[in-house]
Amino acid sequence: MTPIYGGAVSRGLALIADTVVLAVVLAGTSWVVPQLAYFLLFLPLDPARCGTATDWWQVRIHLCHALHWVAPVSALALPPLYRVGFWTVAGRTPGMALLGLRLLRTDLQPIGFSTAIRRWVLRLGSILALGLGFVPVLFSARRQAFHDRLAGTVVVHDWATATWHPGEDSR
Amino acid sequence: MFHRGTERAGLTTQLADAVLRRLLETEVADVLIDRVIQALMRSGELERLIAKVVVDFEASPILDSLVDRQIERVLLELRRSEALQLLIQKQAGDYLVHLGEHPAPVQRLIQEQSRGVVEEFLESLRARALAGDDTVDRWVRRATGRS
Repeated sequence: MTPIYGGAVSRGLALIADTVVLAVVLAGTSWVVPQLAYFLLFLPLDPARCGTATDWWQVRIHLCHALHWVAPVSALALPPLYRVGFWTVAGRTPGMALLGLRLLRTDLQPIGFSTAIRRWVLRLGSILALGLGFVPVLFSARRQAFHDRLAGTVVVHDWATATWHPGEDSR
Repeated sequence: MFHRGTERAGLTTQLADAVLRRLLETEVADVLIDRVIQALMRSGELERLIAKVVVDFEASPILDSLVDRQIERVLLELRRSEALQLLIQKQAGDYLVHLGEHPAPVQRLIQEQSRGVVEEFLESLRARALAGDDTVDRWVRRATGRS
């Protein structure tokens, strides 16, 4: 049976769902980590009150200053970890799971870590090109975006009443 | 003359009653009644007669009102019945105690219901998204002039 490829609407909705999940996780991380540091290690929430460390063993002061970096580091690190991690482990992000989508190689086999990394980097390129990399989804026979073509991946519908499930065909 | 005729008629009636009574006490009467009933059943007349009576009863507004009145009366009595209220309270109490002691089936039922609702929502969302994909494809094909 021919797989049903995920089109603009399904993929768009999955992207929105993932963005919401990521925003919640990021906001949670940026708030929870300083709060934990405040309650467990008695570190001040205001960085101006951290004090000045002159020696390397003054770990508490260094940690207090490091708390500033939790939000920006999370914002940079979490999105790739989230996507690459879920693509590799589950073959789908939570947003894709909500919409019943699955990421596979073009031969309809599960993707590995290297393919996931490659796709994420190429996808970043698609986004930085003002989203133009996503336009081919509208014209491609397999509804592949620019990064899908280059990474050798496809997004397929994989849910109960969809007529195809992974493993049935290895075209 | 008139009195004598009346007395004779009375005597005849008494005699007939006595003979009939005596006849009914014998086995002959039982056999006779059995044969009459069997003959009636074989002929189908009895069935037709019963069917007619039932149909007449069903269509009878008098019977309807009679039944309604009886039901109303019984319901009113049940509503006023303290014994019934006690019974219901006891049964409800027993049922609640039973549910408290065995909550697993109810929990399972609620979980299944919730799961069903979520699955239904997801199915609907996915089907709509899939239909949306096809609609967008059609628009693009039409706009670009592709078949």
